[in-house]
Amino acid sequence: MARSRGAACLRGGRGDGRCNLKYDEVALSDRLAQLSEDAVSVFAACCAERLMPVYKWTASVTAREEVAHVRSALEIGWSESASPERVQQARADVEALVPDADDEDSGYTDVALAQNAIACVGYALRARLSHNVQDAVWAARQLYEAADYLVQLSAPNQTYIENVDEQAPVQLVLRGLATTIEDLGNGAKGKAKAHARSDGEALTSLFNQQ
Amino acid sequence: MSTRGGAAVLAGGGWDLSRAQRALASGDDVLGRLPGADAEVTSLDAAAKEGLTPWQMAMSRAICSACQAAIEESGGTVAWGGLFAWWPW
Repeated sequence: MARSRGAACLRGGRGDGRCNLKYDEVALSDRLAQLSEDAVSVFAACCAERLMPVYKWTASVTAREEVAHVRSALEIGWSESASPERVQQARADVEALVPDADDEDSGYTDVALAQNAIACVGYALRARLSHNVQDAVWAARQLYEAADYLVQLSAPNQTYIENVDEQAPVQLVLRGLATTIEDLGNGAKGKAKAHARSDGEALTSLFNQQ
Repeated sequence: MSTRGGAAVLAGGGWDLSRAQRALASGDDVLGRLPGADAEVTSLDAAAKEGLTPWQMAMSRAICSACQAAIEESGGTVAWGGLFAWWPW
């Protein structure tokens, strides 16, 4: 059964019963503003959770320690008992791990993906501290840009695939964002996290097919 | 990078332009994409493929020696500081 349709659409709708999801940050922001403060930070954590498998996939053996730190930081973001000071420290630590684009020894086979994933965890931790909808939107943008990156991998040099929102990796992400909002609107935090984890694995399998 | 014909070539290094960056482009802009290459080389290659003549190039970070060599080989000059290059008329 499809997990997200109808009310879960971020924007659009083709009028034929199928949901034509588009990435629309204004609409996303409006939807998030209707959620509780806690749900906003959980939404951001779900975005980061969706990027964790692909982050691990792009990390080489030499980045094993960084992967453990990033995973640990996200767990702090999930933890309801973590103090604001601990979250703040985790945020600072994880943001310091964002690799430089020009660092050829970064330990990642794909620095762009590592940047998206680590930044997403950083925004999730910021959202946990601030409960600010914009931090959650920026977390979603990291996820969306990672999916766009995947789509563009199949484009010939000096061209971009324009209708990215219609491509499978982006649709997976957009359905995931919509599902998370739906889950959190229903108070189903655990379900949202489980969906995020399974979607993250699905996204990674799409990378593997490239 | 601006070109003689008026069109601008936009490019990023490494993984090229993100969706948000592409959204900021205007209709006449040429969007460069050359995975793994630096932005300077990407924009020169994009201009060549579009038949455009380079005029001025602004960089957001100091140019590397390989890109400087590519610009000079194409007839351009890199300004001191490595954040700007131009091609003579």
